[in-house]
Amino acid sequence: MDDAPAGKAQEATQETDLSPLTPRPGPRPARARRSVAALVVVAVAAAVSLLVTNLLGDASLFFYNADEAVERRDELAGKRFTLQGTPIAAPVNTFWDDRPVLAFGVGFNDVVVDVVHTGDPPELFQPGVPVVLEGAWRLGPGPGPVIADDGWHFASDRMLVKHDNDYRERDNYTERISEAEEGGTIP
Amino acid sequence: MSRAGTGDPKRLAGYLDGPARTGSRFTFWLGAATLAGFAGVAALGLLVVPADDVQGDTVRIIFVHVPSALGAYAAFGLTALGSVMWLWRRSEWWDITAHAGAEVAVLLCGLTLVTGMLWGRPTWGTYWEWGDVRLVTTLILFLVMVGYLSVRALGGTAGSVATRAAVVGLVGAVNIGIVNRSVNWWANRTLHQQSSLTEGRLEDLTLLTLVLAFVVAAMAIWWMVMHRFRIGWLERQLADRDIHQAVRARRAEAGR
Repeated sequence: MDDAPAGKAQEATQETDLSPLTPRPGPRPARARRSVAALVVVAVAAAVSLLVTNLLGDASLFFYNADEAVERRDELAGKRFTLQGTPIAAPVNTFWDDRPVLAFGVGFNDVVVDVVHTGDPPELFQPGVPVVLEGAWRLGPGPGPVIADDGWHFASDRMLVKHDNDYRERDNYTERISEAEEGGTIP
Repeated sequence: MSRAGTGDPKRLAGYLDGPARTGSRFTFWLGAATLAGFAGVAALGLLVVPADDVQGDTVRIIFVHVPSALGAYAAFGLTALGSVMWLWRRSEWWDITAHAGAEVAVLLCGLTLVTGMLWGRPTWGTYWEWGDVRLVTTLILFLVMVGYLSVRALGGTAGSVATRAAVVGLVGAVNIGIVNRSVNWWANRTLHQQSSLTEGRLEDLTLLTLVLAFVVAAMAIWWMVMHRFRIGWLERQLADRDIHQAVRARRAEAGR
């Protein structure tokens, strides 16, 4: 065996630490980290595919505006669908088949639909703020005020508020008017 | 890639080309200004801006929600730009930038989803609707961002990781446009309103505070991307150091 390389190696040893290189302690071994990453990639791909399929496939998710729902009543009769419109007056609390219901009218493009809703409405439900309602056409007038008067009503059991993009700061105008009225009263 | 010791500047200083830290005087002052900006937005948004006529105090969440959403678009847009530059120029600098952008984007997109759900419950009457186009496309964007980071963690050579990730980043970034335009393209398939900002539907103090929140969010994103970029840069240098050291050791063992 030649001594020269051994001598060089000994010299190099003094400069470089030649102790066996051990993997640095990381958060996890590299292979385990890669396996987790591969699982996440597969899960993400599956979830994205599922979401896209659901989004493209479910036609019942379409909101029919009140005027469209009236126009396509024959086609939609007997089917459950989602109707969108703006409540045009305060709802009336009444009973229908011994169940408490809300009766009101919603409008869209000057077409009004009478609605009979079963269940609690969202907190923001009020006239002038658009809603989407899940339900179906029913023949005959509802128990509340008849506004549309077309022989039909929309029976809904799920209501969501569709807030529009208008943001109006609540000023103190009303409060100031009542203060002024009170302050202006001659005792 | 070794991460051990990245917090020990003294131990690393001898091995690296530049300083072994992620901060600088500039990032310090940028961070300080960002914190002051956050305090200002919080004070304005919580104490000064009047409640909304319809939504009441719930409106205040837009000062977090909208800047987070636009910030997520911008950060993942940076990932897309970095991906293009990597594929075009094979620039390591751009690949690290793309990675940094994606990490910040995940954070902001997650915040967008959470604040949106918190706003949705009192406003719409539901936290989440699986058929809602805006909500679901935003969730898909979030998942794509997570997927981008997972692809980077799959392993391989630095070049193959960067190329693989760049393709995912570019394909995923297409969804930014879909998410943004979804409220116009599919107005009858989402509860989400159309843009209030571009249509001038915000008033006085609400608008002012939101614009200030955008500026502060941009500063925060800049600060985070710079720090994350420098971490990535240090990681590369550490990896190079490990390789050089290993080669030297092997050569010494072989006597060459």
